[in-house]
Amino acid sequence: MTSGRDRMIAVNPQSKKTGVIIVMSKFHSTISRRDFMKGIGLTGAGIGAAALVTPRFSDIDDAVGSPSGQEVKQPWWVKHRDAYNTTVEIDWDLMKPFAADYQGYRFGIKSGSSEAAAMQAALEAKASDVPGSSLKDSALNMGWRVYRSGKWVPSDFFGPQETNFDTPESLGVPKWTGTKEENAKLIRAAYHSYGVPQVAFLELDEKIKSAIFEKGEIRWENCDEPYTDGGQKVVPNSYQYLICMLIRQNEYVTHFGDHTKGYVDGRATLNIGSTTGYSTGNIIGARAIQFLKTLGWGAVGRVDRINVATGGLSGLSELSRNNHNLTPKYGTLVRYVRTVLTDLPLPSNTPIDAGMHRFCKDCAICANHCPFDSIPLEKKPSWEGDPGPNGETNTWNRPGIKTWHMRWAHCHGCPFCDAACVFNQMNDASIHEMIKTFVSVTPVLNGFFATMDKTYGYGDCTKYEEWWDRDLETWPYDCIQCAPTGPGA
Amino acid sequence: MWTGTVLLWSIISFSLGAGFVYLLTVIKSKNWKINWYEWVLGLLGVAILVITIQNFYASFTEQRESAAWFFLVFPGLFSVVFLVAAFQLAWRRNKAVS
Repeated sequence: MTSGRDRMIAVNPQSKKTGVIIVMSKFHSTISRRDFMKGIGLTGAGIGAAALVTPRFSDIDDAVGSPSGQEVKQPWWVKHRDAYNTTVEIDWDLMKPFAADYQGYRFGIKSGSSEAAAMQAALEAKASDVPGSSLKDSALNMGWRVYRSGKWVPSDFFGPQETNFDTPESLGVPKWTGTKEENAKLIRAAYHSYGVPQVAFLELDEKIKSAIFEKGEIRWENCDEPYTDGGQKVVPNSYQYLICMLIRQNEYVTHFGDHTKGYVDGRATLNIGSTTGYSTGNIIGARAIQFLKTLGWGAVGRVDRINVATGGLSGLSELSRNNHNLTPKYGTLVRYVRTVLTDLPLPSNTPIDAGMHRFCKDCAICANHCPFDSIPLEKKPSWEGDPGPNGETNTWNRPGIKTWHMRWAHCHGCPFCDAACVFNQMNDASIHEMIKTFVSVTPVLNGFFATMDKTYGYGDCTKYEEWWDRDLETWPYDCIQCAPTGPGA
Repeated sequence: MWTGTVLLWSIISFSLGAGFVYLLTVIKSKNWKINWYEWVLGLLGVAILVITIQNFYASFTEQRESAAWFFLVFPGLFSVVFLVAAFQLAWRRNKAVS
């Protein structure tokens, strides 16, 4: 067999004669790597230089025909080797199924030994002020420890129910104390590492309680620990501080779908955006609660049914036309404001004004994109709620707020209004921040900006069909666990 | 971190710097006089041009190709108008004087 050529018996379709033909596969060559290097004139190069340019393929077919995704993409200087041929030498004759017997050793110490007793005592030693060994460091670790073992018993309200979390009692130290401002700084630093870009706080009073807690959901009483009474959550009177965490959702996948085609097309992908927020919000909430418990303070979670009011009152957001949290940095692409109720003293933040709620008067892009006519198109907000589809009394919009009252009976929960919002841009282009700055100062160009948003196609759906073929090396819009944050994250 | 964005802005910065130095050299060699409003128009044109380039490039990063091309029209054309106006004003006046 000639190198690079295969011989076959074949029939000529025209002459009908049988003969031997030589089939040259497109680029296949069985030449050795050495011959290949000789062919491209590099045989004379030194070993070091040759090693630098040694191709990462066994033959030319492999080089040009290898389907994308066959190998893990590595930086260009990485060489690939043949199967089983790792950089560490392996004797495959000795490689059999194996189970390690640690013989009582764990982390360098043999159990039952005097050394083990001394090490155990050291590990259980009181938390100190040494950086890395203090109570707050342990609290940060305990927050990350949630679901570490995979045995986490979740509870949105009570928090993680595992028993192996550190507490001030188990560490033999007093609980954390600090000023309200110190406590706020501590929480923001820890929660940012857990995945919360912005945290605000509210000290509860009767006004705030009326606005943000669902009627009958929660009651305060003179008790030591929180508990549930039927369907109602009961907390101690000392739980007067609310931690408000902004939970983001993935921008790009929220834009899947085409509002002009209605709700049925692409149904599976339409839910992905909100699911990214709800899913990550659950584990973030658990970490948040555990952090506080390890500091020695009480905490319960998920008292955020009316989370849009929480966002507005705490300064995380303004109210949008579609009655969602509208934030300066992320628009409406935040899934919700997740809360933790605690007795750790915290400051109280105040509402913001970025001109966004005012912008909604001249915009209404979300309302125009809604396939179900659930968002009013009127320019001005109103105190009056909208009657139901059959003229019944509107019992789904609360009185006492001047807004564009949603026709909730129509809303199917699709993502089109959120995806369309003018403030929802991925913040690479500088024009977005320029416009937000201008809008915060004056509304004179609001209508112009809304028109330009439509003209420039910002509310259009993203190219879902191409998403599966995206270049994973350069794609900037996935959520890579534990990836470092950058400016504006 | 070394990225295409860093490379792009390095080239733009170098070009702007070199271009400005060359402009000053030409003005001095030809003994031209540039009025303050011509400077303002020119600098405004350059600023809008830089904004146009940044938004054009970044719109592709945001997967918004149609927006990218629109940026060349607005504000791209404005930058061209300002730059041409600044040059024409200065050139015509200095030509008339000479």
